[in-house]
Amino acid sequence: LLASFSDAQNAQQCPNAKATFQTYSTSQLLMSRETVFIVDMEVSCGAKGNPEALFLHADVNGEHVPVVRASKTTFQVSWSAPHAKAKTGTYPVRIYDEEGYAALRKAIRNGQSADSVKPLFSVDINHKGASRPGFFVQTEFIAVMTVLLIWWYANSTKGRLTE
Amino acid sequence: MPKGKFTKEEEKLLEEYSRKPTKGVEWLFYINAFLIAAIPIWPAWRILQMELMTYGIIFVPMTLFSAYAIVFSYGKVKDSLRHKIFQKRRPAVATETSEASENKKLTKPQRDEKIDWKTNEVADRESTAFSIFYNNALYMLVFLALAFYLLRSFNVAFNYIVSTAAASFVLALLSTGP
Repeated sequence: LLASFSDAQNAQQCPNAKATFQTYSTSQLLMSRETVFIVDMEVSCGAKGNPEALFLHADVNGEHVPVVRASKTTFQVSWSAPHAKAKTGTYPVRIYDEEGYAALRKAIRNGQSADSVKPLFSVDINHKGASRPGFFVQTEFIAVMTVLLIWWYANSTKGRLTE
Repeated sequence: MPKGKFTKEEEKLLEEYSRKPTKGVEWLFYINAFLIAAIPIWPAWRILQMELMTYGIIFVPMTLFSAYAIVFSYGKVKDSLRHKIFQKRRPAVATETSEASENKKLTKPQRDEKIDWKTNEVADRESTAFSIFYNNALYMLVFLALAFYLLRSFNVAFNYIVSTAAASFVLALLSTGP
């Protein structure tokens, strides 16, 4: 009774919840060992709402990811994965309030699809993959190959001159 | 004529056929050698992050050492090629000289002397230019291969010193060979 009362309180404290998102995923292989995904969101609750009353949870492809409160109205979701496992593609991030997340867990326990529970917010991270910056071939390799070819030509000319 | 003294003609002949480079060629060698020896400072500074002021005490002596070795190699390679180039170019120079109208009135010994002189000039210039080209290419090849592949995981100062010293050493060693 007390739990349902507090859930009702949360819903009342943040009616018409809306959020704006900024997403990030690692794009360069060179300076990192893992790919990091970050979602920053700013939540607004309408004129009489109180975002401070919100406690949020995130679900990414069936994995629970904790949501951290950065300030009164901003939250952050982040996780990391090895580069090889962080495939290129879209990562849907579903944000639930406490009531919604409890409903999600219940649905999964009962064998229902996660899509049956509507999230509070959802955002997609479009991960383009992490790559090495610059040319496909290293610059020093190009430099050494060029000088090698020049020296090869010089050496063969020297050979012809000394025949 | 006092013993040890040469006539002007003999001095001129000695100079033309001497292995010692002329002043002009010497300066050409020094300037080229210094420029090539200084080139490794650029990748050391920009890629290996060796600050000029901090590592200047390494850059200056290594550049001078490399320049000395490069000048040595220039001279040796030039000497080894000059006679070969002389032999290869003589027939072409002889044909060109014989066909020139102003040479038709010369006697055979005079024409031969002129051909030899001209061929010597051609061989001197060609051997100088080729020696510079060949040694520059070899120096850069050895330096780049050592600095960016074999020694890349070593301390930057060690990398620079060993790669430039080794490139200079290889140059000097190969220039004294056949």
